[in-house]
Amino acid sequence: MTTNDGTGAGVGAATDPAATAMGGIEAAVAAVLRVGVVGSCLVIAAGSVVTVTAASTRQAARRSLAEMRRGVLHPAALRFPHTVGAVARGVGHGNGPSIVMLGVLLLIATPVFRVAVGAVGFALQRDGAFVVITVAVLAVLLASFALG
Amino acid sequence: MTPIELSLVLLAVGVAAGGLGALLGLGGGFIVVPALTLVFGVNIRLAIGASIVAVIATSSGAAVAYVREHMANMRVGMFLELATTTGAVTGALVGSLLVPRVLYIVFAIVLVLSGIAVARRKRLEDRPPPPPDALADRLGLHGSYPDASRGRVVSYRVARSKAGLALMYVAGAVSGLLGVGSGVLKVPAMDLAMGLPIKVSTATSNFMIGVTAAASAGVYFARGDIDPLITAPVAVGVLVGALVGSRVLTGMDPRRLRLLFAVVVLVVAVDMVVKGVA
Repeated sequence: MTTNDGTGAGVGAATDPAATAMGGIEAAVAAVLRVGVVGSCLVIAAGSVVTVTAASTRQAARRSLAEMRRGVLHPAALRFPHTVGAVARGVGHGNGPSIVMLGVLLLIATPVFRVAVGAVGFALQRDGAFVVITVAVLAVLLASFALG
Repeated sequence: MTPIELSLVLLAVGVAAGGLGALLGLGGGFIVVPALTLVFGVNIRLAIGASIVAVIATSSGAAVAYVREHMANMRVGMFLELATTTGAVTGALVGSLLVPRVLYIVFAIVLVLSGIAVARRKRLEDRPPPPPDALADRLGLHGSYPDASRGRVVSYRVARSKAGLALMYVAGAVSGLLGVGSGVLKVPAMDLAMGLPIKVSTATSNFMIGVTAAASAGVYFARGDIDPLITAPVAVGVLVGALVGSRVLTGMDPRRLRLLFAVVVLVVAVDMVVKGVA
């Protein structure tokens, strides 16, 4: 922020105890998001490289894409894992598409983790109203996973 | 087209969706779904599966910068998530009971009206002071953000937080019902009702949409609608686009941002009418 005139949020936050507390939670949330985003991106990229270089999946990927482009819902050549167990087994075998799915699952989990970290942060700051709010959001999220 | 060539094209689609989505507080599904279905002939369910992952990628990728730089108001975002997540669950639950044909048209009309209102909204400095809001005071929702286009830190007060909560419930329900990103409704609700600056509205919307999308992503994953071959390049592209887009927001002219938002909202509205009539 080069054009900041010196009365920036950082300076203001340092003089206000409530804002400083919020700054800690913001830093923690930003860190969770960054780890989730960078981590999942690397895993997805690695899985893609394995998929197109491994002999076992390269041809299958080619056929699979051709079918996909004809609008086939579940291409036969490369059935993709859609349970956590199947993803874990595939990753164990070094299967490219399974490694991609691991990265995707990591990405999906990132916002959920960020809500949980917010809840812990607010609890540490004894911000009762926001502990209730974030725990309620987390509960709705987990319920929606259970419903789905 | 080889898998690698296709991946590179999808990567570019992702960069565009992530960049524009990060700026406007939208998930980028409005680019990903038409590109996959119309240009590449991908099955609609696989396209939606990839787009829901793209929404999470846009949201989380952009929020890294928005949270750190106070562009997104995290307290407002978390407060409103109460309503968007319950709304999304409600929408998903009643979705199968309704024929949403009329709903598409109603939604399109609401979009056009709110897009025009967002475009015509006065600058923060030229507005009358917002009405007092005891709940916003008690929850400490007011905030400030650094605006490079103005060259200073802008303070703002949050108004009508209860109305905002109600609108977010509707936004969540509509997105659950119609399977569209709720950013197009979240941004106007924060901008028009709660009086947040437009950049804070789009950044906070971005912060929030990942949580709602994560709830539905679990369902798509279990149904087998998330395909690694399609999703991988789109997700990586979106992350790169979102990281770039989130750097651009603070320096952007608010007026230009409003116009860009209105244009994209009108495009989404046309898409809704087509779906409703078809």
